[in-house]
Amino acid sequence: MLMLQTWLVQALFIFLITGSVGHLLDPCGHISPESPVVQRGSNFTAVCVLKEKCMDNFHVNANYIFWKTNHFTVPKEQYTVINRTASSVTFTNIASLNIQLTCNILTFGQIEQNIYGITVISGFPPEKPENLSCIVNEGKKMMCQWDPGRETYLETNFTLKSEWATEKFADCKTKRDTPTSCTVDYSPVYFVNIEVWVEAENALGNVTSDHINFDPIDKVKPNPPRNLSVSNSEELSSILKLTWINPSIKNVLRLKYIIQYRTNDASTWSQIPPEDTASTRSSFTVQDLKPFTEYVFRIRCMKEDGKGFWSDWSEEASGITYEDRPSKAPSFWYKIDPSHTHSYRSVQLIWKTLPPFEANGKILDYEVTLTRWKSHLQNYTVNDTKLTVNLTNDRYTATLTARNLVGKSDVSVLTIPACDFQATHPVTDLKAFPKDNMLWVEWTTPSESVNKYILEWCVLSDKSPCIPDWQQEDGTVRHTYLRGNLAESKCYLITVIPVYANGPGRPESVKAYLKQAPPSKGPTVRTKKVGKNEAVLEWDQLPVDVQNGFIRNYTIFYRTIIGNETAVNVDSSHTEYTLSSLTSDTLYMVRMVAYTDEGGKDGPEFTFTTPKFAQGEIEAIVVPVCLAFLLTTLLGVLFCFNKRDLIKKHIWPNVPDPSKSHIAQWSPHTPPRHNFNSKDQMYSDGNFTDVSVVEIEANDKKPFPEDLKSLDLFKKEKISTEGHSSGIGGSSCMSSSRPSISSSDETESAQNTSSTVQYSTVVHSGYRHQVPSVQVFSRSESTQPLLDSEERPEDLQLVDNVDGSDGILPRQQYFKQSCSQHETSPDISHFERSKQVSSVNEEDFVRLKEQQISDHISQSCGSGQMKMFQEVSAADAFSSGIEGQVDRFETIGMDAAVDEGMPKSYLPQTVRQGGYMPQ
Amino acid sequence: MRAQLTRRTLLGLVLGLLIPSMAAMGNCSSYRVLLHQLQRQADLMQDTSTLLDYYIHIQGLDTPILRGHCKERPGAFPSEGTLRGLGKRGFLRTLSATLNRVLHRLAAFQRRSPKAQYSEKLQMARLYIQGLRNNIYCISQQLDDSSETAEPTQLGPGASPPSTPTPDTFESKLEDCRFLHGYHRFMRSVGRVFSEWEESRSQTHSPQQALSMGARRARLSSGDNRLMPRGQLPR
Repeated sequence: MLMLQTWLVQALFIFLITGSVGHLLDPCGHISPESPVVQRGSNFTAVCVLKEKCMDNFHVNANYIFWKTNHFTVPKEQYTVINRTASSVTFTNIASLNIQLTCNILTFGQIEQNIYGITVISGFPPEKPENLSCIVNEGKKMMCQWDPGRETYLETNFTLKSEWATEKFADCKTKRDTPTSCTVDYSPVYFVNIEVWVEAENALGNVTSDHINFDPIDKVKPNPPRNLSVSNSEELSSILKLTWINPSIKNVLRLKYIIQYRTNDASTWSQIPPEDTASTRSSFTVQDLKPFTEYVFRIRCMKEDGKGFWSDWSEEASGITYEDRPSKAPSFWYKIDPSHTHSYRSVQLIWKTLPPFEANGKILDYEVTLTRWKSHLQNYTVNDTKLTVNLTNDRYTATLTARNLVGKSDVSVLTIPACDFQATHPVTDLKAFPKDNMLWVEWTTPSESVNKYILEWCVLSDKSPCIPDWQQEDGTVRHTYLRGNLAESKCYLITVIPVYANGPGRPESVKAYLKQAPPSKGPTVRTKKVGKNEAVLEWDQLPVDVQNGFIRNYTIFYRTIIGNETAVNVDSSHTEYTLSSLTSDTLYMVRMVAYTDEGGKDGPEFTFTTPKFAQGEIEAIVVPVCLAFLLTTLLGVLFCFNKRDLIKKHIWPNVPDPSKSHIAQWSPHTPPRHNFNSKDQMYSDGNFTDVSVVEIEANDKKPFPEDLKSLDLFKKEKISTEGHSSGIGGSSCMSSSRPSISSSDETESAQNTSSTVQYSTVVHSGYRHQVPSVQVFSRSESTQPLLDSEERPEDLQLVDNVDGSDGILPRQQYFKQSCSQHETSPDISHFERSKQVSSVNEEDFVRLKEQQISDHISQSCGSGQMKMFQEVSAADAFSSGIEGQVDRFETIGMDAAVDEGMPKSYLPQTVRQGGYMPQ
Repeated sequence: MRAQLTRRTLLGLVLGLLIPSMAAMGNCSSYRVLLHQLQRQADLMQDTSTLLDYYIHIQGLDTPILRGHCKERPGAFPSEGTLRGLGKRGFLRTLSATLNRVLHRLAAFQRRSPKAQYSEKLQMARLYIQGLRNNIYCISQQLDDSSETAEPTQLGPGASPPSTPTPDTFESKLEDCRFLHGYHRFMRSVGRVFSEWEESRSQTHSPQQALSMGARRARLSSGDNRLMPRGQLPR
């Protein structure tokens, strides 16, 4: 009872729920058609019909309907309001496969609400199935297949229909995974024509293929013959008999066959002529086979009239034909051991095993006979393929036959010539070349009749000896290929020996490759000689083991670090090459590639650097320079030697030995050595105190031509003024070119010779209180400071007086000659313009002065001095307006002021009264 | 002319009754092909390995004595002589009627068959018989009886309905064995008749001529049959 109540409650609940849900899911309208399937490219129209109830609830009508496809609103232009409740939409040329079409309204004018939705499916109607064909596999049911035509994009059913004239068979529905074929579910009935066709159907239509009418027996694919067996015949070594069991379909129809066969090692099949197997049978004898050869057979069958299908191939079966006597004599050759004794020689007779197609069976042994010239016969039976015998130096004839179970081969005859036999008549035009993956050899036959040819070949290698293989060819052969296991990239030395009736001819050899390849290793290049602009490269020929072909040429690639690579081709016969036009002092990288016909291989890179100078170039520079230096030095020495008196005079002048003096020589009548008349005129008191020498360093900023002008001026002045002495800075043979000038201003001299040590002393007074009629200039280059006791207080006073005078640049020496003893004013007229004079000129000047002295040419100091001063004054006057020069003077004065603070250790030595004080 | 039309209509009606749903379905082969197919079908169906041998084997009748008892009951199937004596249309009608009877009998066999494999053989045999009847229908469609004289359907002793199987199981097996034996023999005779049709066709090269030749032979056969007492099978 309780259960009943519970059940009733549940049922009531379900009823109520169902009712309410149904009410809730009740749509406000619907779309017609509900599930449309449209042909692609066609037009489609859908209608949405609203329910009155919803229209009242939402206060809408058909004008409020809008359509959406795949959530995109359809343009209003495609709408048509049919009446108050219905609106339609039209699509032209439907292209999409599936369209979600929804009908929507705007409730209360703004709230979008979906009314109904459908899916529009598009596709194509089925095309007419083509190429309908059926097959009846023996023992199975009939299967038909066809081409379904284009894709329909719709679910399309294919039905295979079949019928007799009096019966209709059940339809064959295709499976989903095989829509283009169907296997009927009834066994085929042979010898009754059946009509078959295919119907294709989908939502957009159906179509039927062409009907085909056939007898199933004409569509049979038989099972292959089975239990194929092969047997041979002892009577005939060229036949094999095949037997098999036919498929059971043989009871229904007549069969024909295809029998194929091949030798065991072949890949292609031969076929028995079809007309020989065009009828039902269960055995066949195959003829014209090779003796003692294994053959493989296979067979297939089909309906005799050719209607239907060939069966699959049967399983293969093999059989061996019976033996026959060897069809050919073995190849026969010999080798003579070179280390034979005096009267005997060791001869090895060698022969080749017959190939199976010539042996025609298993070779049991070989029979060898040896016949010395008109001597008895020696017989040997050998199982091996060689026989070594000791023969005399006479001529022998050897024969060879191979024997198998059935019989003996023909006889091979070989003549072993006597020891003194001279081989002649070689083949000519011997060539070897690869072709069709074989190494062919061809030659021109000698004029003599050749019995046969022996071809020997071996691999040339640096690592292993040449072990020859050989083969025999008939005497009529002009070309053949080497029948050995030849390897690619190996160099073969091939020798052809014609064999005549009286013995072998002279062998000819040629090298060849079966297939060339790039060398396995490139040549290693190195430099033989490196010059400034060229380098001689050398390399070794590649070993034959790595050549892999004929080296046709080399290519040398060389480059600098930043430069492009340059390639040079070199003939393969060369082993060195000279690179020219190289840049000196440059690192070069060079590598070399060896090429065969198949490509190249480069060797390791080698670097070298060209030298900066060519060989001997340094010597060519250094030696002349050294020689020039040496020559200059020598000339200097010679010059110094020649002028040693002058040098001596300047450097260490002869100090007159008072003890050897003669008063007569100091007679006032002695002509004056210097004529300072002009000076005397200028300075009437003739009271010269001393002369300082100041060395002036050339001012780089001063234009050189002006210096030269000054120099000329100075020279003129010097020449014309005998009372002046230069020689300062030119005391040595290799004196400096620093110009110097004399000055009479002893104060300046005192200031500026302290560092340069060159100073001179003008001996104004006569020797030992004698008053010379001329001023004598002497010079000292001593750097030794004067002792304080030797310095005169007047000199110190003069130094003090310099303060007010013009300053002088350090290291500049001014030669200032003052004709007035009280010259302290910095008047510009008291200055001598400094002139740069070269040392050579100065030497000349000194020399001239010497000469002037020696010639006793007397000139007035005052006149000469005046002349100079006049010129300088004129120059100063001319350039007085030039501020730069004035500035320069000021600068000098400033420098001089700076030098005042320095200790005055080197002071000009002054000999006041006729004495000379050695320094 | 009117009589000929009536006879053709009658033949179609008879075969239509014998071969259900023979409204024009499918396309029949040519007369030559049909004749060849009929001959080949007869050759297949005379092969005792298709039904009898297997039946003897599965029913345990494969002993010489029992095999001796498994012989065709006289009169169960028309004799070869009877068949030869019929005209082509008569032969075809007789053949079709006999095959219809065999079909029913094989259906009964199939219902009683203890072995599924044998049931398949029976089904196959039935299918072949139906195919044969289809070809009979097709070749009868192509026979022009204008040259053939009217002849009654042979319903002689060979065409008599088979005797009802006895309830005894062993006897029933033997009876079925005899029936199958007779069936194979009958089909062998049919094959021979068709081969004669084939030979005559190769000589005359037309169904009409073959038909007339068949009629003449039929008359001769009738004459021969008269030599034999009715109700007896030729020995």
